[in-house]
Amino acid sequence: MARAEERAAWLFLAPSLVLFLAFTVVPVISAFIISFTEWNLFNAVNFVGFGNYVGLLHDEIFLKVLGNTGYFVLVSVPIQIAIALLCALALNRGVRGQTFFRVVYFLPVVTSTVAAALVWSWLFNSNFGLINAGLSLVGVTDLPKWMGSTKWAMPAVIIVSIWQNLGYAMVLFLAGLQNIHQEVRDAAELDGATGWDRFWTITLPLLSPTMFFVLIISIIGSFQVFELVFVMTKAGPANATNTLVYYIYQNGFQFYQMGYASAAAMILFLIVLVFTLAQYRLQDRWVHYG
Amino acid sequence: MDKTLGDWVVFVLLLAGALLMCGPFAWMISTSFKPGPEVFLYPPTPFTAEPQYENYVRIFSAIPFGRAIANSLIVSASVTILQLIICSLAAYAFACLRFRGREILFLIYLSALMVPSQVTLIPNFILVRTLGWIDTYQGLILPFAFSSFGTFLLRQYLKSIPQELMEAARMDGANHFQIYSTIVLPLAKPALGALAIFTFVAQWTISSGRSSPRPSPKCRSRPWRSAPSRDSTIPIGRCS
Repeated sequence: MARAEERAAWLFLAPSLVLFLAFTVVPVISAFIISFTEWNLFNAVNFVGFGNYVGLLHDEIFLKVLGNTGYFVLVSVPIQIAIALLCALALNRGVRGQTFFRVVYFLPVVTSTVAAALVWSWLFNSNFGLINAGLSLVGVTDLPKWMGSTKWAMPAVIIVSIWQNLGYAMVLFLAGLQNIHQEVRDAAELDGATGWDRFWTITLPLLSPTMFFVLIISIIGSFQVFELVFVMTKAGPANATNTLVYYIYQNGFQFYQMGYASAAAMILFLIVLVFTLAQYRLQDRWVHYG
Repeated sequence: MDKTLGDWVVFVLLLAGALLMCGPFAWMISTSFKPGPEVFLYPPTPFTAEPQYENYVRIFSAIPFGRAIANSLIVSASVTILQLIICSLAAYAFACLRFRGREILFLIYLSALMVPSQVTLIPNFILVRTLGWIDTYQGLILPFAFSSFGTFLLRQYLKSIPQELMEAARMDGANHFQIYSTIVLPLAKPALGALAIFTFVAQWTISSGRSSPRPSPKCRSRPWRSAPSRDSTIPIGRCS
């Protein structure tokens, strides 16, 4: 009986095991091995030990790419989460048209990133774009060149990223807020807590499991920003918007340096892993489950 | 009084936000009707005086747009259907069956959620090339036919189905496959529906992480079409 159940279990698992081995386990292990080689996809594989890793740490562009990625994550994630939380709190007050707002704010999430980035690159265009036309209408004279300037290109990418991912976090927050029972808040109100106190002492702690999930997903996601950069700036100008995944793509599929690209991918994996593990460790301090 | 005033302020702010969220979509539609040179006019015109309806006809002749949409549909639908089957089978094993190594295997599946797809992008590309699957549908479909996310989602749901239902079916002599297909799957419809939507949307909008980074026109799916790529063989950027 128990043996029959065991056999059945492995039969049920067989399709997923085959695909998981082929397209996840084998690739992860081979990426790790490739990262110690010099290989252009066509010639023989040449083992170079830690050469690629040493090379990356001395690569000025790679260091700049690390900085850019950090800048992107540190700026986009907090702003995106703050706006999403504000929107969710506002919608949770029971304003009219809640469904309409929810759909509209979620619309960019289900839009192809490539299409969205294309439209935004017209909007940001410094010659004919709507955004600069609007800015000059309100009297800004020193118009930013956006994707043409090393200073403003990254903020442009960040703005589009926030616009696109806002709805996802908002819907999750909204679901979390709707789980907080009105009685809890009513009780706090009776005890004389102000709206501000109630937010910090009741709403936010009860929302912390959702916040934890959103934070992890957003950080992992923004470390992997690629399509926005690919369509809007092609990493330019002067690598001002070159991010880790774009750099991996460049090295692997434009310069055919598979070893170098895999080493960069391993470093990215390590960074994301450290961030995720650190958040798991820190969650005891601020995440309250039930 | 104070409360309703606050509500109105919130409503107006949300409306302004909604306009910001919708703006780019409106601009996309407005631009799609403009004649070529007007796109680059400064100051920009909100509506064109001479709408070019034939832009929509032209994309089907200028680039194989119909083919691209068909490819996207075929790939997204196949991936979605396969994931629903494969993930629900695995989820049934994890949620409803006892076997040695269950917890460890589940943890290994879960840890795959943390691996960025870019880590496996290059080896996957090599694997798909070795199999001779570049520019084929199976090369675009099979690497995405299983997901840890889907298995996790369905397992959580299946665990909430009362054990007695399955035991009763076993008493009546049903085997595991019959229980899975006639009891568990119908009960899991909400979770399967959610997974179907997530998967289809993700597949439809994806363009990076694809096994072949520069697909040939035959198998290039829709998002690749709209990318204004310099080294693309088709001058997409000039079609607007």
